[in-house]
Amino acid sequence: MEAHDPLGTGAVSVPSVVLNLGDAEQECGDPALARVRRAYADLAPGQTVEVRSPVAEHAFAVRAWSRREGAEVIRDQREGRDVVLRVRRPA
Amino acid sequence: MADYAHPEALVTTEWLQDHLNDDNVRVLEVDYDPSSAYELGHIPGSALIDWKRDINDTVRRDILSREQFEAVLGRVGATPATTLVLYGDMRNWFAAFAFWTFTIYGHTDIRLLNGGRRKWFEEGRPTTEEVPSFTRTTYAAPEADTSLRAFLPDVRKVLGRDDFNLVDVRSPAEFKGEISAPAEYANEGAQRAGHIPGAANIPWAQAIRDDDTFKSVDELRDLYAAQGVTGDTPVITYCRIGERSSHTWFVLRYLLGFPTVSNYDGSWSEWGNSVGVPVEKDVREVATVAG
Repeated sequence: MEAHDPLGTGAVSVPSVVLNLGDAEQECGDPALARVRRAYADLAPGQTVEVRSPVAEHAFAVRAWSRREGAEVIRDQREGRDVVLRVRRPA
Repeated sequence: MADYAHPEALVTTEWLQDHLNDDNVRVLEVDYDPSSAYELGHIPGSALIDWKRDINDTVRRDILSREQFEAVLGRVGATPATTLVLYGDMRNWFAAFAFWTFTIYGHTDIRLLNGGRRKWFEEGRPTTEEVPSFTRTTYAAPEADTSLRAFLPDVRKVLGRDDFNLVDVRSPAEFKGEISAPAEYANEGAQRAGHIPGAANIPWAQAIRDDDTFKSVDELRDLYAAQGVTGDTPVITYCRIGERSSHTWFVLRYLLGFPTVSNYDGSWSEWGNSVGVPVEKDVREVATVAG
């Protein structure tokens, strides 16, 4: 996958995990953010998880949770219908 | 919304934003997982109702008791005259469940936010992390209206009868017995997968549009009528634990105005674990009425 650095932080990385949350919460399963938390918990320092969703509520939750968690959002932009967020576990 | 049988049971996001400072309106966010929702940001002035802790008995499997209900409503400073506006995470399922339980305990002015939390955020409306505080009230509730709730024996009694409708609102895969419960919900699994014999499968999400607002009354009427659910006979809704079916209970009772609708909150997690109850996996063909 192509690396990106849209925030100009020099924090270029290729995601270790890509989560598409577009189908989250269609049926009675985990909240969308729970999937992100699980994926993030498995990351080694410096690794990233990429989250894609067309739902603004999902993007809001990932941003807010990342701030609380101390996770770094190194990419946050819209691609078509989806907001794409890339979240890195600090080294 | 005006064409719904009870349009007063819904509010728009615009209406709610205009009433955030209305003293007689209490906004309640009902979450399955507050750490993924309310705690990260919520509608200004809204109080958290934690579905697991506040709406359910935390020891035995049951909805909250009347005393627990009175304590919850007292905690958020409500009186029987307060307008309660409910919304929440997970597509408003748990807000609908709270609507159902609060109706059981006799609160009359309850409204669901059309489109829920998802639409509020989609529209970029204000949010906050600030948790409001309220002056506690003493709330007195009447006896529970148990006619709104179906228990397993009630469902057994109507098996094979054509003067009742059973509506299974789960996904087709759950209905056909291909799955029972997601792996992450080990305590919602069942020994058997499938559906209650005679049930019509009308997944909950067919009642909403892409923005999570409810479909028009004509669309809803056609949706359920196509499966023989017209309101001429009593309806029992169910899903896996009773929250998605609360969403459909709300649609049938308040948007379509069906006179007798109850929610079987034991749902598949009870039926599919019960010894000796019949289980069906086949999908029945339903003749649709032309025109």
